[in-house]
Order: sequence, then C-alpha cells, then structure tokens
Amino acid sequence: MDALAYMEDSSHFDRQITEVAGVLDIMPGHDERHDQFIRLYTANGPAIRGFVRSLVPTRDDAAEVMQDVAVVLWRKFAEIGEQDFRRWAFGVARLQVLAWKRDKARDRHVFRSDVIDLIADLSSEVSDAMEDQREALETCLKKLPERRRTLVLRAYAPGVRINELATRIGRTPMSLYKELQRIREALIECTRRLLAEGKIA
Amino acid sequence: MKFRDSKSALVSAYIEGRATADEIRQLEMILRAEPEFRRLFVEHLNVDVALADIASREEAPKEIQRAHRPGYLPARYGRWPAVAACAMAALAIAVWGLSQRTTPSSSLTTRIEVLDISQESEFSIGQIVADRRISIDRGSLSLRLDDGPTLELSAPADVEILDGLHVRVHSGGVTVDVGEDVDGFVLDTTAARFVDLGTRFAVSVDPSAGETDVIVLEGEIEVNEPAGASTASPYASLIAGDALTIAPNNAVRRLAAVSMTSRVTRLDQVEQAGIVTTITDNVADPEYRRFYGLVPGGMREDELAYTTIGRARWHSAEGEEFPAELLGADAIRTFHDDRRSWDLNISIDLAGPAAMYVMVDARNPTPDWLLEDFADTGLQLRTGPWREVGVVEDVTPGSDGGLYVSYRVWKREILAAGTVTLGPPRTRGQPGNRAMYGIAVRAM
Repeated sequence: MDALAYMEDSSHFDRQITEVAGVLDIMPGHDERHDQFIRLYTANGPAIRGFVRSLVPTRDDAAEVMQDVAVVLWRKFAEIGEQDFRRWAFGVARLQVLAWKRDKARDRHVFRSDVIDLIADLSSEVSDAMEDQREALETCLKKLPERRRTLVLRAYAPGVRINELATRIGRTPMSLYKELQRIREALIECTRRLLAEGKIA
Repeated sequence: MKFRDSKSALVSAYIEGRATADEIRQLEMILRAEPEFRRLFVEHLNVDVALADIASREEAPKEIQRAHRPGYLPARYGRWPAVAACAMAALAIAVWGLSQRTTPSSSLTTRIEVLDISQESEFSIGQIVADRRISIDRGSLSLRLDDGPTLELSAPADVEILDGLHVRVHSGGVTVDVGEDVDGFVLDTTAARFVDLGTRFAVSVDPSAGETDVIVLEGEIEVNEPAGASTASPYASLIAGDALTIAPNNAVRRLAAVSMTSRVTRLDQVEQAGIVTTITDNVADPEYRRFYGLVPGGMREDELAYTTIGRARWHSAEGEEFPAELLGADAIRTFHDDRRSWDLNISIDLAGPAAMYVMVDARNPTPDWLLEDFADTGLQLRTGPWREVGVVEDVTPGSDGGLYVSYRVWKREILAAGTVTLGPPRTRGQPGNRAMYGIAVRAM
C-alpha cells in the first residue's frame, strides 16, 4: 500500500491528513521510508498535537505550528536512526514552538521560554499517561448524558466558534464557556477514575 | 483533585483562547511554582486536543438527516433553551404533519422482498411479500425493505413492517443490517425504541418478560424510551461490541456472553448448547456493556477476532496454512478494550473435556498465569490488517502491505466439565500498547 492509499484508507485521521498534506507535496516519490514516516506520524499524531497544544495559547496556533512540525519531521526523518519516534518528534516540536514564539515576540499571550521548557519537559515525561487518558476519554465521553455529549462535540467540531454556537442555541457565550469547563472537568475526573481502577491502562 | 475555582477559570480561559496577557502571567507564576498544577494543566490541554480530534470524526450530516425522519425528534434538544426548543418544536410539528400524510401510503408501498430462506419455508426467494405482519415458527427468513435495510428473522419471530425505515418486533430474534447509505432506521419493541446510526445490530424480544436483548455488531445505535412513552429521550448510545438486556421501565443490564451464529442471541438461550456454556468476567462497573461473542466453528481464516473491531481478522502466519489443530474450533471473540487491563479475569464454563487455546500477542511477555497452566504449542497466528493505530506502531507491514499482529498459541487440556479462569493480558507496569488475547475451545 503506498502512502497516499494509506492516508485515504485512514479516513478518520483528518487532522493528520491536513497536517501531512504539505509534506506529501514535497515528497519526491512514494517509497518505503515515506510509508514508514506516515505510519509513525499518524500513530503519534495525537500525542504530538497534545504536546504542541500545551505550549501555545490557542488551537489555531497549535494547528499552525503542527504544519511546520510535520514538514520538519519529514525533512529530518532520515536522521532519526534508532531513536524513539515520539521522543524525537517532541524535540522537534519544542524547537518549532520556540521558533513560532520568536515570531510572536511582541505577543504577551505567549508563555515565556522557561515556562515552555517546564511544560515541554513534563509533557514528554507523561506522554504515555496522556495516551491512556485519551483512550479513557473515549469511554468517558460515552458515559456523559446525551445532551452534554452532543454539546461538547458541537463546541469542538472543526471551525465552530463558541460565540456563534451560543447564539444559535440561545445562550450567552459565558454560560456556554462555563458549561464546557464543567464538562471537561467531569471528563477528566472520569478518566482518572477509570485509570485508577485499571479499566484502561 | 480539582482545581480551585480561580485556577480552573484561568486554565479554561487559556484553553479557550480568552486569557488576557495579565492572566497568562498569573498562569505562568502558578505553573512555575506548582509541579502538581503543571501536571493538571497538561492533562486539561490533552483532553482539549482529544475532544477536538473526536469531534472532527463525528458526522454532523447524519444528525440533520435523522431529525427529518417521521416520528423521530432527537430528544437531546428537548431540554435546550427556549429558542432552540421552539425551533425544534416547529420542526417536530412540520415533520409530524408530514408523517401523518405520508405514512399510510408509505406503508402500503414498502416493497418487502424475500432474499433468503431456510428449508421448509412457506416463502420463496425473490417473493414480494404483501403482508405487513410477518411471522415464522421455524427456520429463518431474510427480507429486504425498499432495496435498503435487510432483516434476518430467526424463528420463532413476529415482525411488523411499518415502512421501509421502521419496523416493530413483537417477539423473537431479528438481525438488522441497515447499511452505510441508509440513515434513521427505527426499530420498536415493547421495551425500547432503537434508532440506527448506520450499523448492523440484533434484537431478541421476549414478550412474556417484556425484555429485549440488543447486540451491536457494527456502528452505533441510540436506545430510546419505547414508542408511546411520555418522553422519547435517548438514554443510551451503544457501539460495536456493546450488548444490553432492557427490561420494562428502562432497567438495563449488561449482556456479557452472546452466541454469534446465524441467530445472534444470548449464550444461555442457545437451543443446542456447545462445549462453552457461559462466559463471564470480573468487571463490576454497572455501566460496562461489552460482550464476548462465541462463534461455533469460528476459528478459520478471515474470521473476526474481536467484538469491538470490524477490521482485525484471524489469519495464518505469513506464508503458512491456517493451523489444522485450530481450524474449526469454537472462537471466543474478546473485546480489544481489555488489552491494557492488569486485573481482568475471564471465566469460561465448559460442558465437558476440552482443549482451550489462548492466542497472545507475540510481543508481550508471557503472563504468569499462562505459564502455569498452559503450554506453548509453537503455533502462530496473525490478526489484521489493522489501521495504523498505537497497537501496530512498531509492526513492519506484511507482504500485502497490511499491518498484522502476530500471536503465539498456548494450549491447555481440560479433562472434565468445569470453569476455567484466564488472567489479565498484561502485568502492572508493562509498557507498550499490545493486542488483547484471543480464545478458542475445542471439545475433546
């Protein structure tokens, strides 16, 4: 299976496809290394996105950085050797976040470098636990009352703006923000409970 | 532990991109000073990303289509604020009016075609059935409605076709294959209304107890209060690998063991019991809904390996024949979610002497319980092809380009009827994302 066929087959990895689309354009051909890269990138995509997201203020910022991360990962993929792909990808992502931060030097909404380092170190350290949490989240989401589950998925759907969603459903943006905060906290509590009970990991 | 309110509000503001520069500085101070808060912060961001990933997989168009089906108004909107409620009420009235005009003719024109029959049937293949109410007291009958959903009736069964997207099962077993192109199929029983979200599922109705068993084989369904109830709220969402028994008043309990022959039904109701009579586990969570599937003679090439995954199938080792010793043994489909459990126990009741086989991910260290009671046969199997998910991260593609997990086959001979208990697939602290084991049994 070549890389393009593989990407088409993995239809639910829309985000990876978007991020890697730029990489595919610069790839000279479809070879074994190419396929191996896409496989590793897709398998580790959620962890890398989580890592980047913890270091930048918004999801849009994270998407912007991820585009660059994907390109750099591919360009340097030949140098990885026997290294653990995820650990290596986190290192690349960290440098890309710092490069992105330099471009935003005047933006006071971006964390300072020492805080980025602290969070990046921790994110690397707990990446397996975060993978477990993401898996537990799928179960916890199903346990949510239907109305809350629908609401949170609508709020997180691609391109949705909370202000617009609030207007559509007849609520104030602030009440919606608060409900989403409560839902996230309930989900996190649920994932901790599942993980503590050994139901997931 | 929860954040204190101010910290929680800060993190939420950051997650939502609303934090001011001053709030960011405040957040930085806490992140520097409190390692535990850093961990919680990373957890929140991780959930934020995961929710966005999950939401991007959801198919919004289905919601819109389903809301326009006669008789179906997603009750999730019922408790929403006035504007949304009014809008949905207006839609409901319009839909109701439409359904009142179209349902009678729709019912009359629904085409019911016989696709297949078992022996000695009063029906014939290709026959167009005129009656809306169809009962069989022996064998099985496969029907297709309006070139769309198919129903597999297993005797005794009594089914009423209300229209091409709506049936009522009065009694017996029915397996529904709605297909990917049809949306909004509704199946009613006295215990519940099931709304299909693009899937294959089975129900078995016991009218004397007022109970309905429901087993999801592919995709997802919503479980609603029965038609005519004061509310029509979906109170459960079931996905592939879930099974429930629904009693009157929406009392539900897990259905842990299912026989997966042409009639998909609870294992303890199988007429001709095989060597495996019961499968249970030690999961105590009342909300757990996963089921084990017993497939008599199911160990063969290309048979599904798990109840929860539609892609991973059993295959011989690369370049080899399917092991004769395993071929045709009864397969027990486990659920792949269990692969990370370190305290799982699965208990299997056997009606007599049997050989039991456990197929373990070859990358896993052998669990102690397996070393104690089982012997390595030297045989190997594979499952696949898998999507490129964590479990195959370090797997090299097979000759066909697909990703396959290899298993070592362990065996134990049990000399008399009794219960065999299997342990967890991994030990505490064991790293890596590995496949759940499979089970097969053959009478001796």
